[in-house]
Amino acid sequence: MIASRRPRAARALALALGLLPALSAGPAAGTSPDTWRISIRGQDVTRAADPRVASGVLLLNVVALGPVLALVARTAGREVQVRDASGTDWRGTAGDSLLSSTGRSLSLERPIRIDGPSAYLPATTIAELAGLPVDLDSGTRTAAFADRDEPAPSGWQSLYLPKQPGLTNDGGSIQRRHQDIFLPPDHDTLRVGLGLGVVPGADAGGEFSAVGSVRGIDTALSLLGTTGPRGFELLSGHAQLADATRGVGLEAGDLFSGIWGLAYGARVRWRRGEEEGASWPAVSIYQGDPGIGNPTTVVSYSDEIGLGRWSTAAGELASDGSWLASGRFRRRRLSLFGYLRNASGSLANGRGSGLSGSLDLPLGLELQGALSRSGSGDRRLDEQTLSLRVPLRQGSALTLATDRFAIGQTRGQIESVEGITAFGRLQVQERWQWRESLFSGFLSTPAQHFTEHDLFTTASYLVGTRLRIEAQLIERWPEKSRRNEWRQLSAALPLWHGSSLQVFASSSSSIGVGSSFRVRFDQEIRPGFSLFVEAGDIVTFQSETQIGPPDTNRFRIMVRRSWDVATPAPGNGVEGFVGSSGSLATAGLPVELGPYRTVTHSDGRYAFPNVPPGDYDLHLNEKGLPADILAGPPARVRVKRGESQEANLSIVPLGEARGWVYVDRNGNHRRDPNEGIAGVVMILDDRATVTSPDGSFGFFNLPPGTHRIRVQADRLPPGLEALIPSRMDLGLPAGRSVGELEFRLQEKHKSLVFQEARK
Amino acid sequence: MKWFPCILAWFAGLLFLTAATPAIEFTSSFESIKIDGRPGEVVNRDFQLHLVPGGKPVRFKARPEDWWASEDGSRSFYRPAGTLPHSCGPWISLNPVETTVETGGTLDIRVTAAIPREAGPGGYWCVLTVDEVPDPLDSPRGVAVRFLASVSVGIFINLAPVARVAEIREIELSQGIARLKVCNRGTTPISADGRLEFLPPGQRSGQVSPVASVVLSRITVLTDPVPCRLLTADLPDSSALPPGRYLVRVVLDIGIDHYLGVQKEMEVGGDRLAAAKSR
Repeated sequence: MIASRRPRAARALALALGLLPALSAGPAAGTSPDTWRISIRGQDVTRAADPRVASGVLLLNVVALGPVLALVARTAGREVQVRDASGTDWRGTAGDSLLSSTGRSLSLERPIRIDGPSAYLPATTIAELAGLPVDLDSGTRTAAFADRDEPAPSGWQSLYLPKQPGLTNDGGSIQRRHQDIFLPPDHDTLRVGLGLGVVPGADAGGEFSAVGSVRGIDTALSLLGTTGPRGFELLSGHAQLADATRGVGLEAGDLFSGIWGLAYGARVRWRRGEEEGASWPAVSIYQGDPGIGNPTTVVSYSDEIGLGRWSTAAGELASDGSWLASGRFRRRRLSLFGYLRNASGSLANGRGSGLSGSLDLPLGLELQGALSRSGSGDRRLDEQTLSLRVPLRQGSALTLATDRFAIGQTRGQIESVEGITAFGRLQVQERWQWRESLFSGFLSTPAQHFTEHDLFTTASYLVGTRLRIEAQLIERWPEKSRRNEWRQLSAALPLWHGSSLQVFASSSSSIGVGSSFRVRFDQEIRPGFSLFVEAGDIVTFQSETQIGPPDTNRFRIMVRRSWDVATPAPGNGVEGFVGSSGSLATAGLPVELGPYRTVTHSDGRYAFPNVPPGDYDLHLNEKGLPADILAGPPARVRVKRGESQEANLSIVPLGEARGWVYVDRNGNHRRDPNEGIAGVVMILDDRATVTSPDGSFGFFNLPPGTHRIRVQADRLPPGLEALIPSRMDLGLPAGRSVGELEFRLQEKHKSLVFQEARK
Repeated sequence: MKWFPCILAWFAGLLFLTAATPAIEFTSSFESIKIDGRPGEVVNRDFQLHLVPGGKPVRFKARPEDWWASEDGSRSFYRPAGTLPHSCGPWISLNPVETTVETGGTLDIRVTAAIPREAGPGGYWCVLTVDEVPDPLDSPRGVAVRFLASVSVGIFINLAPVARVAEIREIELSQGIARLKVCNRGTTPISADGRLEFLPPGQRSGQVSPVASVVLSRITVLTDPVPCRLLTADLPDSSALPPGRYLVRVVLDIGIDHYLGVQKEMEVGGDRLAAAKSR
């Protein structure tokens, strides 16, 4: 056996022939391969053929030999399917002695054997399917499939040259018809995320999120809870439902109030108007929380209105008398924002006002400024800031800023200069600021004056394409105290696919603040599932109660898992049929509904399931219709939630009008060969054409109805004139052709006038 | 001076006669329309032709017609659709048939093939011919010569099953030219291209690089009425192919799973090329 003597050669051959899987698998378990040697065009394929003998008949694995013999063979359960060399599909079932095709059958010497993915047919049958002769020699136990019948010129040797992928003439390939179907999704999706983290010996935390859509309603839910020394605590939670179609939204949990900032409660919103950019007024109820916001439970109304093209005004009014009013203006290079607030509660800055703005100047300069006042009495804070950003070359920029403030008995000023620039892979940001404060004294406390200088330096450098190093340095020089420094170095490096390793190290010269070190490692185990480990000086979940630096030598492990959950789809079905005024087939016609596309079924009906609510144009795509069909008028469909829509379309078959223009030269009152006139301009409605050399003309793709057809009398060839009538009204039924229209011309006759010759 | 107006008129007439309207400029893929269809199926395709901006509006008229070429490819024959037994022309409808395209615009013709239910398996073909025609409502003044463009692209429709079978019937290397006669023995038109390789003698495998190679440009071989075509190519000169004995191998691609190939050892070069004719 060649395969056993030269395994490498056999493997190379198998690779070339695409038989490696078959060879790797070897003979099926439990079988006893015979000692037959099988060759195809001189190449040994014995192992792939897996020859077996049953009652003296040689059986071969047609599935493995298929690629070499230009057959497509596969098994499906107890059935084998074979597409032969001529493209005919054959089927047979295990145990049957017959392969059948449409209206044809092929008898087999022995029944079909199916063994997993392998199917065994008699060698003679395989040869017949492949269109090759096979030479079976039971004496030498060889089966040789001969070459195809590709005769060569006399004296030339015929060759079989297998193709390699990519080296093919596409002349035999066929462009596939593009099935243009795009339907709304049959379900909505909610992405659910779950994260769990444990700090051994300390506490644990968990987060849950669900974001997506349910029946077209935007849904968002998030929860964060911890358990530890303080027991179980729900740190935050927020739920939101928004129906953009109906213009209604609900929220609960952690909300943002314009008056108090973070608040707990519930809110209902609704859209005012249908146009894009319409405002969403809201009514909210906030639970009382004297610690951070409103002291009592209140109800508030918030709204936003447009004031002309460039301005908006917004406000919130609460039942306890608190209120907020704000305005925004933006036009060209100038933008302004201002607010007035009067909030009850324990907030130090319950009352406040502010005005901020920015102005884009020529050369890319940007000027920003703000004035604000909040609180009252000794806790009143006044602040004025002004900054100018100057862009430099290649992304670099310089910012100059000044900030004046006054809080209680203290007044101060901060002047700063900040620059950012990049040198190749190195990016540097530097900020220097000078701070001066004056405490004017209180009761017996003397007035005090403080000054200090701060330098903030941040540099990041990308090493190669993977490693990023970032360093931060903060230096502070108080006027009458020692210089302080705080340093941090971090590095991020993906170790392998889906991983990320980050290292942080920091130190400080301040008293009571030591050095810290932290390492974190992320690994995506598979899409949607990741593992996160952090070790070193880490902060626990409930660490806000801790005093002093975080414990060292802790580690935290977290897993995060997210997956998509199919939810009910929005919208409803839109369906109907395409009708024809004739006997046209209405199957396979392209129907478009807004962005969605489908084709009609054999009965002319179409259906778009799960169409989201909205207004859509429904029409037939002219480009996809047969050339001799005209689409009827389109339709406008409004899809509402909970209502299916029925809308029908139509097609109109187009017709033709053909005819002849001739001169009845022999006067027999009918058109004869060689009497046609070329170059005659014919007009049908607003179309024009010219007669061919034989005098024929045609107008094609005509909609049904009445058409007026005529000879262009003032453009007739010289010496000819039209007979009256030179036009006719043609009633063209749908899809019909009129083929024997005749227009007669006649030659102009000029009388011959003889004159007497002068002498 | 009575003859002066006559000379002037003669020059003016000559000027009109020699003033030829410039031919139109356009771009198109010219790719054949290939359809893998089934009896009873209606298939749409598009033919597009883009007019280069800057000229005048052009009027086009389109029609399907039958086509075949002579054996040496030097002559093409166009006949009314339905002339050939395997014509797809009668199945084709076009929209628009006649239209005017503005300069810089696109002629976009919808080509629909309505395959009859009774059509048998095999390959069918025809061509879509698009002629530039004079605008019927445009009346040119004086005498002028106008060159009208005409474009034809093939339409090939295969109804399964089809057999792509070809035979290399004659090979002739003479007068510095290689000529191959390829005959279609299948049931559908085929595209054939390939190469002619000159290998050192004694080679039986394709592992050795050829000394020289000649590309055989693609041709279409129909099933009828002319089922054979000649492929020709210039042979390399003596600097690329020194005279000597070579294994001459013809490798032909007709779009099936393997190449057609024939080979023969022979003396090649100089005057012996003329003697290396084999039939």
